[in-house]
Amino acid sequence: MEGKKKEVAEKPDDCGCGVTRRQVMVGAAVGTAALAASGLVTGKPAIAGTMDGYPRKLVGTVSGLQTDQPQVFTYPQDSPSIFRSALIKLGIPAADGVGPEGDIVAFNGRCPHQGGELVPEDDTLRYDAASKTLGPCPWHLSTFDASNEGMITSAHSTQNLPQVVLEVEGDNIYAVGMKGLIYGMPANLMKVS
Amino acid sequence: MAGTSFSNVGFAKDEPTDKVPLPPKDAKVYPTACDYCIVGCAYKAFVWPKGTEGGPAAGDNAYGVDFPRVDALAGWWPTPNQYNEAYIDGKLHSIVVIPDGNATVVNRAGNHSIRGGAIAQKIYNPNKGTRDRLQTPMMRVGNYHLPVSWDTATRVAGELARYTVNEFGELAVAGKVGSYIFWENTYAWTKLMMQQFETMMVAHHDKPSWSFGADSSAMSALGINAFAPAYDDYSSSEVIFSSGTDSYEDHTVLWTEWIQQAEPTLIYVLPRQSKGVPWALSRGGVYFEIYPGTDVPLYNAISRVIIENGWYDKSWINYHGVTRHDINAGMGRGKRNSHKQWRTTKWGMTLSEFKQFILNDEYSTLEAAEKISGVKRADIVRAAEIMAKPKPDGSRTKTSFINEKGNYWSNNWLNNAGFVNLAFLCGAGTRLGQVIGRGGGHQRGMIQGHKYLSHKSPGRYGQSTRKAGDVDQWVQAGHVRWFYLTACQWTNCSCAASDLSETIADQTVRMPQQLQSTDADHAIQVLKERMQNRGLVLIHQDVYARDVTEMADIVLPAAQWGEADLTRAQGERRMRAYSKFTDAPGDAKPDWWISQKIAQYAGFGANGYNWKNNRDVLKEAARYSRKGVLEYAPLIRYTTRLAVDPYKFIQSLGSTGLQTPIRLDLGKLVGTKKLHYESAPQMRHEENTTHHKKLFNWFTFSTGKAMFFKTDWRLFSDYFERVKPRGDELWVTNGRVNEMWQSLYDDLRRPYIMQRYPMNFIEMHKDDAAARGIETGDLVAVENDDLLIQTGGVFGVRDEDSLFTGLMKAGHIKRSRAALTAMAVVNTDVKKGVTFMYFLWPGSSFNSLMHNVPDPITAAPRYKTAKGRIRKIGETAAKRTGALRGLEHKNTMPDWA
Repeated sequence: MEGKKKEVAEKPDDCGCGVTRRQVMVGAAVGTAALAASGLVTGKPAIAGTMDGYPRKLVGTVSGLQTDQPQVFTYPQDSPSIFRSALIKLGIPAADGVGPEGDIVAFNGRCPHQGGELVPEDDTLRYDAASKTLGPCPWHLSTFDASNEGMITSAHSTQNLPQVVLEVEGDNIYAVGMKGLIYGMPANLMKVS
Repeated sequence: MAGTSFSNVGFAKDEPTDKVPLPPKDAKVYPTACDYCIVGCAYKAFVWPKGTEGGPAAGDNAYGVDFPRVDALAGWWPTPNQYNEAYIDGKLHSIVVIPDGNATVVNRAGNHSIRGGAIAQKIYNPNKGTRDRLQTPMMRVGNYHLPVSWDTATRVAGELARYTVNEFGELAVAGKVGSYIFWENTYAWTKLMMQQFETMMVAHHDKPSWSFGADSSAMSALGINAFAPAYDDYSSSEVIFSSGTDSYEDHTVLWTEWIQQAEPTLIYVLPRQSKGVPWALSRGGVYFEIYPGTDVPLYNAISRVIIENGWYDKSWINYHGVTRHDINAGMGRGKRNSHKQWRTTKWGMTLSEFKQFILNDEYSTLEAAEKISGVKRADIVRAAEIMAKPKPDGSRTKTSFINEKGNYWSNNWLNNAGFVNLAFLCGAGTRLGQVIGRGGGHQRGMIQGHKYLSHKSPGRYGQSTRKAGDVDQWVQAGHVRWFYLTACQWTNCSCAASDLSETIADQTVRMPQQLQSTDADHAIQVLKERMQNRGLVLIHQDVYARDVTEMADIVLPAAQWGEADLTRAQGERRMRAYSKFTDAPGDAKPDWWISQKIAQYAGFGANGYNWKNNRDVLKEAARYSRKGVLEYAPLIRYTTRLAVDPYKFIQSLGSTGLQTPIRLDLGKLVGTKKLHYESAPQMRHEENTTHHKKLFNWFTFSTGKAMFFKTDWRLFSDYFERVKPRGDELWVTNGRVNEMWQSLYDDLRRPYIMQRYPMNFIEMHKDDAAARGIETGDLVAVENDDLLIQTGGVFGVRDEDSLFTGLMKAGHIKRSRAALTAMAVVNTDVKKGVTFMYFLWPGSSFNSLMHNVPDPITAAPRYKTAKGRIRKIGETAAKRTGALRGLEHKNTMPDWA
């Protein structure tokens, strides 16, 4: 695994190739920087430079997750709100799911149609436990299958709901990358200040 | 067919990307609109040489906005599927096609559907799925399609067309054309076929006959233009009665932007629900889950409840309604016996006559609706109350009416008439928020280069005037020698599709007269011999090969959207520019150019076929738009007077465009927001002033007044009873699917959609599936061994000759059989006893199962009323993945949504 990570890390950031896993140390450093910057945000966020890669960020624990009880985190940067994401234990096997049952997944919380909030600031998550879907979006009803890479179940979105790539180490769940472009960003790794 | 195939279509996957290049500030920007559905959302194409990129600050990118875009609906955020690359002038370019974030009409602030939102993937890119575009003219030699020059291909086509007219008569020339392929192209095609070849054996893409008052037949008969309303009418409605369409699915942005946000109460009439239905039910709406083709007993029952309770709009009907004398006198203009209007004198009714009919008709009761249509009595009463019951203060609810092919493509005349009756009872048609309209299908791209030659048609209903000719039946009867298929499917969208396909094969590829050389003289000689032996020469002009292309003798590659400057109008009649921003592949040419070449080789060059560019065609076609709902002739006069390029002028109108009919009003160009309004625009134009008066005013186009129609179920019931499923058969119906309707030919090459629909599907109710041991993802055979095909009897003497019983008695109905395979999707979205398929999937043609017994009154096909037996024959590869799970949950609507 280590070798694979290194190989990816050597690629340029702007390859636009989706999943980009990064070495732990690099990611952690950037994560800290972003966190520090977020406290200073005033007015409109702007893009300032490019991150070195996707950070490795602790987003939860396997033992702390209950089925169909999503937890909110931000990734790969801490603000603005477009980085709010949901960590969900679905209770059924999921594509790219992690954990002992392969049912833990995480998704960015903005609808890739027009940016409606599926994981709003008031934490009223738009997650339907019966169907394991995120949505319907409050704006135009786009809905995404959390068990299948965020593929639409019914939607206007032109890409899957961006999925956060997870890794489990012991009991810890780490976010390590993204599949898909986050709403509002021209590139996920552009640094927002 | 050699060189072209669907082999690139498989179980594709859209690989996620986390970056889209920003266009640099100096990127070229072109206004355009979506190529797909009627709504015609506004887009902008940004084009720049690959390798350079803009920056995230507003001053550094061509969108002129700052990134990130944080607020919802901020617009100007490009997704990976909105980016593509193409060679322009031989150099690789980056292209973003993105909804216009500054749009103030239609798709305000950059709203879009899943189809248009990914339209950048339509662009020809030799390194992607679109690589199999047709690129060079070809002729079929020795079972392969070999490239030839434009001169060879069009000379063979043109000379053989002239030969056909001379030897076999003009009705031996036939063709079908996509009526969405822009005004310049449809004008050239219809001019050639109708004005030069003088044939009436022509059909639109979606049926075997010309749109001759058939689509929304009763609306046409009354002079209600199907596209009269503006979109703010729908957002001003308190209730919308939606029949045979869920606009969420098939006019997505009309629904999400102009209906959903206004939160009206929605009443749906459909055999299968898509997401608008659960949304409506969560907000006090009504869902009539009907059996295919059974709208009339339902409409009549609702009408009955409205009449019994006196809830109809008395003052409106008093003002607009007809008298018996009006009907008998054809509104003072003699007996109305033109193609649209003879039905008004035959079945027209005053309000009191209609009341009498409804209250005494055994098929217009709650019991009949429950039994035949399969709906709930309580829902009928509730719907009538929602639509028509006056409020406590005496004011009326604003109720509008939308229909589509689910309404009128099963029992065309009667369903449309019943729909209009209901609308009139509610006082709809002429006021804000109280309108009658079609949701629509494709955009309005037809400017007809000649009047339809109806007097040559063999079809009649009783003593009526001619109805449109049926091209498929004409081919099957062996009368056609030269067929010009342009920009559409043929067999796939015809009833009894496989039966028709066999006939075409018999007359083309199975004939002994086949080419052995690409030499034009040889080809003309051989194909003349084929014609003399009752064979057919098939010419297919398109952007991709289709099912029928294999059988074509001549294949002509056409340019498409984005590859030429073109013009047409959308669902509220906005004329806009569809700019050229990329190059057509290979030798592909605009359709008008190809039709012109054929005309020249057919010896008609002197008839004005010397267009140098599309500008010349647009200008010439303008005069044929006059008097019609798409009139733009004043715009051409205006730009000519100012010596301005018409395309540049239309482009300058941006995403708003100008609504047709366009008028010159005291020197200024003005559009027309709505038709049939109580407050029609003032007539003070410089030129052409009077002929629009009828369109502007209410119902004056033909009848002049609001009229009810006798909707007698007996005109359809004999056919219905015969085709109703028996034993273990199920209804098999079809319709539009959000992700692919209008766009499937591109979606087949678009992994984002194919990952969800690896092949055509049949949606089944879980109880019907369980009874047959079928699960989602299973491969199933769908078979009909009781397929009915009308083989004659298009010319009726008495009315009853044309009805199903009469056709049976006279021996005009033959039985056949058909089969197809599809992937099962099991849920509860479709009514029990009914199954649903997508209608135009290559290689899995729903229409193979469809009886070919058209509506005898309008010649419209009864596309929605097929049946079949379904059995499992295996499992698809997709079943082993999670990809299909979303199809079982597509209409999820949690309480909080």
